Amino acid sequence: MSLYNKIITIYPELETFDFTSGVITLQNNSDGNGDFIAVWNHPTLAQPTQEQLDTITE
Amino acid sequence: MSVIKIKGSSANTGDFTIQPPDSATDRTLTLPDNTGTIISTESTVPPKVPLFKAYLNTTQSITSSTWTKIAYNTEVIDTDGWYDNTTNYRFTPQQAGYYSTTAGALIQQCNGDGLISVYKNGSESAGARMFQTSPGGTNRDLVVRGTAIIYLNGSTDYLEYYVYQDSSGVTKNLYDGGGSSDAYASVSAYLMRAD
Repeated sequence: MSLYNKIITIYPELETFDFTSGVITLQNNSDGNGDFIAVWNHPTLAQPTQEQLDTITE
Repeated sequence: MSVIKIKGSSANTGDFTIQPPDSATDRTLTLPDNTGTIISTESTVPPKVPLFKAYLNTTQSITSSTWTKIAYNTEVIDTDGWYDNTTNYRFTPQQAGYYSTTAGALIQQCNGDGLISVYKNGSESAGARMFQTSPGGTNRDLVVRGTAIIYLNGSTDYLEYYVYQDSSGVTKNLYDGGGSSDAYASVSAYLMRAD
């Protein structure tokens, strides 16, 4: 499951605009290290921890 | 000590005049350390500006809602060797000035919006995001392409190119263009004005 899908599973209230406006930026530098959270500036939702993300599976 | 040679016209006629400016200030003209033709405002010889063009010749997958660096991995031209097409996929020119850069990609079977953007030094450059709306329908290809003019300092500044699609959480592929240098997934940059 992608990082985006994990985040949406944790916070289903997030909208497309949150990811395109710069509030939340997911990034992949094509260096083999995969997707990561580059920016998390959501005013009410806390950035999910790695532990939270790891608990989400297919 | 070296000498300065000024040769007359081969036609043995016509004066050649070096005209100083109407100024009391000392001026120094520094000539380039190579052989060539000095151009003037009336010259028809175009300047040789730094230029690169590259394209993607392999399919690249991009996760939904994630800015993903495009790995333009095949060079068509790279006049000064400033584009890295193997590791970081970035353009680091060693001449300061304003550069025009154009990047494009084709997102296959996209079911959402698509964007492409130029990043300067790892961050999205102001005014460099290009947006394309969803193609509509189901599984239609979407082309994203745009141009930006960006100042680079000629030493450490670099450009990278990122693409984004939001097909409801589904990973999509960038089309490799069938190995064509004129593929949709191509990038270029050239110096517009030296600093």
